[in-house]
Amino acid sequence: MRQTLLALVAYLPLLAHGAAAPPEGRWEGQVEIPGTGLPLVVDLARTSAGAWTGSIVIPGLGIKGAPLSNLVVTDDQVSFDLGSRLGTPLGAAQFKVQAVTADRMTGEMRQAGNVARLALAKRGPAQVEVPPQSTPVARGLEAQWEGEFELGGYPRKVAIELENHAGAAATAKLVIVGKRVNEIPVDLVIQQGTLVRVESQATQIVYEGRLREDADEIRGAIELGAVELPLTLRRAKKAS
Amino acid sequence: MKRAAPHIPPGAASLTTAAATGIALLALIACGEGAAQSMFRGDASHTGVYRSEGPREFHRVKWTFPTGDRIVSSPVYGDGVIYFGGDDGQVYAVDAADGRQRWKYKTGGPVPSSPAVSGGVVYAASYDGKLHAIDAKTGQSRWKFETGGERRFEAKNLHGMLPKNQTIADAFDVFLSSPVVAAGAVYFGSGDGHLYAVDAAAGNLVWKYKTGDVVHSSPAFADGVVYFGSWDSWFYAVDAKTGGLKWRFHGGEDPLIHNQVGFQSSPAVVDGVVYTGCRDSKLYAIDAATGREKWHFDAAGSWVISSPAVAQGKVIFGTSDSSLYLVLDAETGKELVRQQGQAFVFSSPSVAGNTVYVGVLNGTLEARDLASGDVLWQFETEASKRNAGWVLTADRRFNMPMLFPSNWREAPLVGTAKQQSVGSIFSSPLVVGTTIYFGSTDGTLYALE
Repeated sequence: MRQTLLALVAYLPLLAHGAAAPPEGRWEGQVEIPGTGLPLVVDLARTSAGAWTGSIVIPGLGIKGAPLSNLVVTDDQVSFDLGSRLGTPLGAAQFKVQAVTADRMTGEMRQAGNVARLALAKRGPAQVEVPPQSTPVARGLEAQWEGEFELGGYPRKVAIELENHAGAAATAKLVIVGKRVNEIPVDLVIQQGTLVRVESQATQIVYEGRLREDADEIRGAIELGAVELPLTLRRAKKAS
Repeated sequence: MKRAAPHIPPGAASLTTAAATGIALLALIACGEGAAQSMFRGDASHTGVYRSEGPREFHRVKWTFPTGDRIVSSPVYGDGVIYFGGDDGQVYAVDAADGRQRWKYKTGGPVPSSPAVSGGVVYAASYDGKLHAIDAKTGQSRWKFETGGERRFEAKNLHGMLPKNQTIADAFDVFLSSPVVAAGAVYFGSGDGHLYAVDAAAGNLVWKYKTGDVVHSSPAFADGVVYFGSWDSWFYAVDAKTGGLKWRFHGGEDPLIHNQVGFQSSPAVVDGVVYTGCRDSKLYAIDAATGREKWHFDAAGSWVISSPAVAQGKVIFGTSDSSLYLVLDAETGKELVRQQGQAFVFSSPSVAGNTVYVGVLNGTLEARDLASGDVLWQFETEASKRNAGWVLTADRRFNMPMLFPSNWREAPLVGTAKQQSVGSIFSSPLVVGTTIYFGSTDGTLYALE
């Protein structure tokens, strides 16, 4: 009897391991941040190619359907980060959970150097949100566009260089020059008809405008976080 | 564009002659023993310099005094007693030696400003729109003077908050104007846009000077002139006797989101120069006689709300978003010390000997070496250590993504309230002997030595 018990104890981890089903699905739970609970919803699924993909909702922090970055799924562990969302100079917000049962995972959230426990429970099928994708731009838009706006009494120069890539979406270089030269990382370039949108999630800077071919300019506005300012971009003259 | 306008007629000032004739008789009352600790920034010229040698090392918490709400007020000292205001509407008198309450006096609103003590009377401005004169020994009311009423600075699309066409009160307008007592009068600013001169003995209006917006800057007094800033982006020098304008100086404007505008910092006047911070992210040195700019320091988009201390030919202050601790040459404005701090500084630095004490909004009281700017020691409030809701990052900076997820509805205000939940120190430290006194948004007045 004693030997049987010992054998069972020895096999228990394997049994628990075997109980962990693939983590595909919608997971809801809470992070136990000191003094408060932070609710969250994580969706995990496989793409048609078999790769893992996911998105997250954090209602208290205005995050809905943000893509999971650096997503790693093993038999019983899931880890990912949120890229620039909730990021600080100390790094990206990171999550790591381990399956406890087929419908329960526990682990931790790290953000800004702080660490808190996290528990998730499976609530149904995954509802992974696909983030907007960049598009190619019209050939006529492939150029450097320049403009200027004023903020807090200081002029800032803006340059956006749009470039297509064979068989892929366009990319953009966005530079804002005030007292310093700021090269802004761009996540998204979209052209829909005459509408052009260039977006940087990390800096919350967005330019959106409409191409006016007759004037060879893009007339629109730049958003700098909560501030929106009119900004007209004109095609840069080529250096002779 | 900055300009001085020295010859504008003082049309906005009104004078009660009878009261004005009496104030000269009371001029000496303010100059008694302990006057250098008896009002905001130490004395009437607001140098922020205290007579004693402050502690170079932290030894212990001498005592704590809990109240019912945040303490933004900076404590002052007179005859063994610490006086300060609370957001719970009380003015407190606490024994400096043991932290026992002597008395408390209830006003009709929060008191986020420093009282001034002079001639046995404590003068305190409250959000009830009144200046209260309180007997320093008994805590009984002597008189009350009613202004046109208090309000915070407000604007449409303030800091980019939505909706754009909605006028929104500024959550960072945290201080009321602290009264200064000099030449027999009490001078203080009001949310009704006026700078008031009130007879210190009887509480009668002597004169009032109208500006274009909220006056929460605390006036400084030097050589018969009252210096103060307004949220209308002008800085004023007014004759202390008549209320007549001597000159005014224009700071920056920000018509779009009203973020980079207004004098919230309070001036210091030393050797004929006025030093003041501004929300246009500058620290200005202005000729006290002419109103002409001597130099300015550009904090590159970061507010200068901290009122500068001026000691040993140096101007010492902190910045908000960039969280810098700066020391400039008072004569030239040349940068002598730049130290990267951890969080916003609204508190005004206090100098005692060769040590500078300054509060930080992450709930830290710092003691720094005057010459090098190096941190000698620091004290963290318990709320700051708890860090509920991850208000702070692990390296004690503000964890902005957790605080301000949205600019819609009350989210920015909630974020600001969270920010201040870590025992933020808006209060400017008072130094008496070897003890440092300051308040915290955790509702506690601390005495450290």
